[in-house]
Amino acid sequence: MKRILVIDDAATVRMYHRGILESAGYSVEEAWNGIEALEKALQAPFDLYVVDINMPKLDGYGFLRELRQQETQQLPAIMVSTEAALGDEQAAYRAGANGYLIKPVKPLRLLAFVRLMLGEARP
Amino acid sequence: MNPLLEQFLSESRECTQGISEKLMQLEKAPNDQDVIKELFRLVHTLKGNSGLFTYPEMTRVLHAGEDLLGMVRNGGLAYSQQLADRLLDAMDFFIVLCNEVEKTEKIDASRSQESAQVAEALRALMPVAHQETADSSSHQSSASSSAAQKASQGFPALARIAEATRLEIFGRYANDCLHWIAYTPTRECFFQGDDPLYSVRQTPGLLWGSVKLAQPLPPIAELDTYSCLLQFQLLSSAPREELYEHFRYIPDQVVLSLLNPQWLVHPEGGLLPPAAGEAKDESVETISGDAAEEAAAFSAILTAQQQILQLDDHPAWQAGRIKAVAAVLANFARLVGDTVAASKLEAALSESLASRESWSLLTWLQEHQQALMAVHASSETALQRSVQSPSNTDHGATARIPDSSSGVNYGRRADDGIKFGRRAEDNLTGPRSLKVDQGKVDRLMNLIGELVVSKNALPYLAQRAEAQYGVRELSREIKGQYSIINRIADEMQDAIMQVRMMTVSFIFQRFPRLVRDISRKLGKEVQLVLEGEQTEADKNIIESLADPLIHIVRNSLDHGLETPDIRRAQGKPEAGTLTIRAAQEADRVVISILDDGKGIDPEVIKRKAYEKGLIDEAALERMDDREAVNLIFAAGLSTAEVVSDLSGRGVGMDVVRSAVEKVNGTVLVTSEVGKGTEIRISLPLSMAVTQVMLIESDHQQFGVPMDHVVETVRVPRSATRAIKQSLTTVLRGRVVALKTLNHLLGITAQPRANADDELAVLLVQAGGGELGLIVDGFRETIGVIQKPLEGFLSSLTVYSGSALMGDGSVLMILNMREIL
Repeated sequence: MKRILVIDDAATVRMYHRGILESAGYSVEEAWNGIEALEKALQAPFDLYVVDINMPKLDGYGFLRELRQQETQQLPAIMVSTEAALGDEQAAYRAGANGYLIKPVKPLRLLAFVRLMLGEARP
Repeated sequence: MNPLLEQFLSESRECTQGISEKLMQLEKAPNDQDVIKELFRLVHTLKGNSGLFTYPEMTRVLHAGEDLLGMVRNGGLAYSQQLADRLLDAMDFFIVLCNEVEKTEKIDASRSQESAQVAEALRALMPVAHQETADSSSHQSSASSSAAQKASQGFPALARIAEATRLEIFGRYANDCLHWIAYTPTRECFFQGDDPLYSVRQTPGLLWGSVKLAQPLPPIAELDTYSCLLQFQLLSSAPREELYEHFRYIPDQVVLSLLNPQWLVHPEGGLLPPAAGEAKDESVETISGDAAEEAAAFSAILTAQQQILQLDDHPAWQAGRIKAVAAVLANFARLVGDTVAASKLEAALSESLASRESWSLLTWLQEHQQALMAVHASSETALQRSVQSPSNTDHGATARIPDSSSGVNYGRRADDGIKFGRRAEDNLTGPRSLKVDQGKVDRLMNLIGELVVSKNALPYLAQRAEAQYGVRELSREIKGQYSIINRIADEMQDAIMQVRMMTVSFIFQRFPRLVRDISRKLGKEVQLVLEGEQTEADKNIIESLADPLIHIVRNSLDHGLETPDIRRAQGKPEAGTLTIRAAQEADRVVISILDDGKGIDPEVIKRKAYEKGLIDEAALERMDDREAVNLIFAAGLSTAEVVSDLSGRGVGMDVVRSAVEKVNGTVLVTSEVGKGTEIRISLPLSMAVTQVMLIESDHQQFGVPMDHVVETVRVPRSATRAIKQSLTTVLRGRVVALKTLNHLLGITAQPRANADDELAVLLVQAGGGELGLIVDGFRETIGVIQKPLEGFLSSLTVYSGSALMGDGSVLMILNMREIL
C-alpha cells in the first residue's frame, strides 16, 4: 500500500485530505508543520507528500527545500494552497513541488494527481 | 453530524480563541511581527477550512479578515485599536454562525446580510484600491443586492456576462479551466509605461471583457484625467501559465480566479463544492468527471514538470528537485507501459545530475510527450464512450466505477469507505491528551454511581446470610469480598473524577477580552492579573462558576474601580488593578476577585438595606461592618448611584450567591473603604459524591449533608426550656434554638427520647446561624450520589435530592437552607 504524508496545520483540512486518500486505498499519515513532517519523512520516506504552504515553525516551501536535499527523499510532492495569487505556483516549483493545487481541492482532482504521480491506472 | 464538520467546528473554536489571545498580545506590542504572522495564519486556517463547506456567510467574513491581516502582515496597513475591535466583532459573528451550524447544520438565510456587513466593515479598513479587487463576492455594488445574498458558491460577477454568451462559452469550454481576471491598473500606470487597454486586448484566450470604475469618480474639479481609475474584468480560456507570463510585469495589479465552468450556467451558485454533501452520484457524471479530471491533471502535471526543469536557478536542492521530477516522469512512463522510454529516462537523469543542468531530461520529455499523451487520449475516448451511450450506464458504468464514485460521496458516509474518525495519530500532533465527548464521561460517572450503590448491597446480604439463613461462614466471606470491591470502586470513582477535572483557565481565558471591552466602555484603565490558572476542579463546578464570576468582574469594574481622574485625585495609580486568583485549599477551590477600587462603605449598605426593608432597626444597630458588606448578596439591593447598562439594576449579587450555593459553595466579601474589595468564592472540588449523615425520624431515614452538620449531642429533656414559643437549650454556655424535625416536615408524631430521656440533637449550621435539630436517632455517615428531584417532585424544596441506598430503598436528602 502506498504511503502518503498529509502536511497541514489545519486539522480539518488534514482530515478532509485523509478521508479522500484513504477512500482510494492509500495509507495516510499526518503532520501539522514542516518540522514534524521532516521528522516523519526521515524515519521512512513516503511515496508522496501533500503539502500546505502556510504553517507555523517551518512552512511548506521550507519543508520541501529541506526534503529535496535528503538523498532518499526525491519522491513526488503536491503543494496545496488557498492562495491563488500569481507567483505562488512558481515558488512552489522552485522549492521542489511537482504539482500545485488550490484549496479546497476537489476529491477527484486530488486523486487524479496522486494516482498519476504514483504511476497508477484509474481503477 | 458529519465528523468532518464536527472537526471543523472544534478547530474553529480553538482558532478564534487563539485569535482573541493574539489580538490581546498585539494590544501590548503592536509591532510584534511574530504575533502578526501567527494571527494571519490562524485566520488563514479558518478561511481554508470554511472553504470545505458551503457556508458562504462564514467564508465571506473570513476572507475579508484574511485580506486585511495579509495587508497588516505585509506592512501595507498598521495595526490599530479599531482593527482589533472589528476583527473581534467578526470573530464573535463567526462563532455565532458556528453555533448555528452546530445546532442545525445550516446557516439561516437572514445571516447573509449581516455577513456582508461584517465583511464590509473589515474591508472598509483597507486602503481604497484594495477593497474591490480582493474578492468578487464582496463588490460594493452587489453586496446589498439580492443577487449577492445568494452568492454562495457561485461566482456572481459572471452574471455580468449576457446569458447567451455564457452558455455559448460553456458549450465550448465545459471541461476546461477558465480564469476570471480582475486587473486594476495603478493610478499612475500611464506614467509607468503601461498601456492597460492594450494589455487587456492582448490577453491570451480572451473570451469576454468589461471595464468599470475601480472607485467613485472625484468631483470634476479634482478629476485628474491622467490617472487611471479603472478596473478590467476578463474571462480567459488560456492556461494559468500563459496568463502569468502575459501579466508578468504587473502581477500585483492582477487577481486571477480559477473558474468552474458550471458557474457560467449558474453564476449564483447551484453547483456545490465537493465536500458539501451532495456530490453527484449519477455514474455518467462521475465517469466523465473522473476522466476529464484525469486528463486535466495529466497535462497539468506534465506542464509542471516541464516548468520545473526550465527553472534557471541552482539551489542546493536542485539535484533533489530534478530527481523528484524524474520519479514522476518514470511513473508516467510506467503508466503507459513504455519500457524503452523508461530506460532512456534513467540515462537522461544521470546526465542531468552530472551536469547540474536539466536539459537532457527536458529533451527526453519533449521527445516522449506525444507517447505519454496516449494515456490522456485513451481516457478521453473512455469519456466519449460513456457520454455517447448513456443507455448502458445502468450496468456497464455503475458496475465498473463503484470504487471511484464512492470515494467522493461525502453525504452518505455510512455506506462508503471514507473514514473521518479520529485516530491515535491525530493526538500526536498536540499535547498528549485525549478529547473525549462529555457524554461518555458522564456515562462512566453514572455507571460508577450505580456500582457504588449495588456494592453497598453486599453488607445487607452478609447480614441476611447470617441472621436469616444462619450461615456465618458465608457471611464472613461476603464481607471480605465486599471490602475488596469497595476499595476498587473507590479508586475507580477517584480516577473518573480525575478525568472530569479541568483547570480554571477554561473560564479565566475569557477575562482579558471581557475586562478590556468593559473597561473601554466605561472609560477606565484596568490592569488584569490572573493567578493560579492551573488550579483544577470538577467540570460542573468550573462551569457553574463562569456566570457568577463574570458578574462579579463586571461589578468590580463598574462600581469598584474609579475612573482615572478620580484615582489620580486620590493619589492612586491611574490604572486600577483587578486580580482574579484561584487556589486549592484542602478539598475546596477558592477563587478570589480583588480590586483596588473604592471599596464598599458598610454604612451606605446598611442604610440602603434598612430603607428597602431588608433589615429592621435592631439589626441596623447590631450589625458589624463585616456583616454589613455581605448584605450586597441580599436580594434587591443595589448601591450603584447611577444605573449603568453593564451591571443593570441591582439584580446580580444575589444571583451570584444562589448560583454558588447551588453547587455547595460559599461566597464572602471583605472590603475596606478607599482601598478595595475582595470577594472570595469557595467551592467543593467535586460534587459528584455527597457525604451525608443518616438520621431517623418517625421510623423514616433522612440524609443531612455533612457540610451542614456541626455536631451530634444528646440533650436531657430536662435541660430544654421554652422561651416564648421556641424551645432552647444551653450548649457549652451558648443558647441554641431547637426545632423538631418531625414538626418541620409536618409529621405529627412526637420525637422519641432514649431510655435516659435524652433527645438526639443534630447541631447544624446554615445561612450563617446554628440550630439544633431534634431527631429520633443518628445513623452512620455514607457517601451517596445525589440525584436532583425531577418533574413534579422538583417543587419540593425541603429536599435537595434523593439517593439510592444499598438495600434498594430511596433516601431523601434534606435541604438545610430551605428547611430552616
